Amino acid sequence: MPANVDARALAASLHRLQDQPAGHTLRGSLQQVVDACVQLFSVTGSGLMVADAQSVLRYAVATDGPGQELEEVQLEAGEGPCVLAFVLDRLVETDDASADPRWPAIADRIRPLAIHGMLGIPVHLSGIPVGSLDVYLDTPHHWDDSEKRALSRYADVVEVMIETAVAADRAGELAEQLNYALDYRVPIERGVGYLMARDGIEHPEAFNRLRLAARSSRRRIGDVAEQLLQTGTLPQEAS
Amino acid sequence: MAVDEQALADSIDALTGSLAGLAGPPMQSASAHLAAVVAAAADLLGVDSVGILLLDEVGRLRAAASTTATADRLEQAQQQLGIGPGHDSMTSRGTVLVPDLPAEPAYSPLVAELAPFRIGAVLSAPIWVEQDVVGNLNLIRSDAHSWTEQEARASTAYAEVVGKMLSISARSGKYRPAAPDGRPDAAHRGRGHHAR
Repeated sequence: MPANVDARALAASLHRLQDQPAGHTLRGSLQQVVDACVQLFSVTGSGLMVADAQSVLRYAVATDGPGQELEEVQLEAGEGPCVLAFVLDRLVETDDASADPRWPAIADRIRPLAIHGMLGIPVHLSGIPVGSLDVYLDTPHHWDDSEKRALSRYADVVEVMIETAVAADRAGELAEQLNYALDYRVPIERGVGYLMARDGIEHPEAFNRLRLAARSSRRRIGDVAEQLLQTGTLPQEAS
Repeated sequence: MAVDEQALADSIDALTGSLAGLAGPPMQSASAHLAAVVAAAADLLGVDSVGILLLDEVGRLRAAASTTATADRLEQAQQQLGIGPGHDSMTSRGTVLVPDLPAEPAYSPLVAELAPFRIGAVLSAPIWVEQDVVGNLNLIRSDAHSWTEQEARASTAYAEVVGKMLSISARSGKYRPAAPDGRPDAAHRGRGHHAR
């Protein structure tokens, strides 16, 4: 359903708001969207992870202690629904993350946190995957199609909020992480396109190869993409 | 009165072009972002239409966004009459639940303005920026409906997201004020941004 906006009424409102104290930050904005996520979907908790310049996910915000620990556990183990959602660039679901054979390294650590049903979904900035949003329940749960569609729709809202916040607040570590994706989206997308054509693979796999190459060589993904475009090879392929 | 449709269209295009030139990219971006968030609200909150009223520089509520002609009519009528759930949400600084708008005597002048559009239940949630209520998010269902506590919580939370987005949008660009008479630009209405 499209929405129609009266630009003049909006401009009048924004003009009024310019006098408001600057008490809002990028992190605060993202905190607001995960807090609202809990209310919208009646879930136990929610969190957001954002990738750095090497395309390694890092904790950004969470609604509660277990949610934060959930993100940190996934980051340490390098696996879990949120990591997979980012890597595959698609929604990942589990009825019970604490018993899911795909992620044995996190099961024991999240069981005491009472984290079970989970959904992870990628979030993008200018078309580039920049992180993942997750929701979780304190009981096992089978997610139906309407729940998955709704979370996907909310990811659209999160992306709008990130885009708006990054434009307004370019200071701080989190803003730097997100701005990197904006600044290097052209070589990254061209690098992904090159790998797709060269190796006959789909977009998520190509992005993941680029991401892994950056991570393993401890270089920024934009630099790796530029090298790929100049030499036709990824760092580990050249050695 | 005869209307030259082509001349009107040309005039609208000229006005829209000049407005866009004056407003610049931040305004276009803010409009697109608001359109996307309002459109998503209808899907996420399970309602038929969504509208937004926002305060302008002189503290008057103005219809700022809508997903359907029904929502647009409700917001325009509230703006013109100065009554409705949106106004009450501003006054109470809380979420107003109206199970059946036509059945509320206090809103009868508003209901009279809405025909032939069908509006049953309305929920108005305040849009906060810091400590101020700067507008309201109005959810509309065609039929009467008893809003649940969960629906009210979700709508209130979503309105807070809208407020946060407006707040940071205001920081990301310079926005010119409305016309001195404060009236909405009729020529610009209906030519706004559309979300996915």
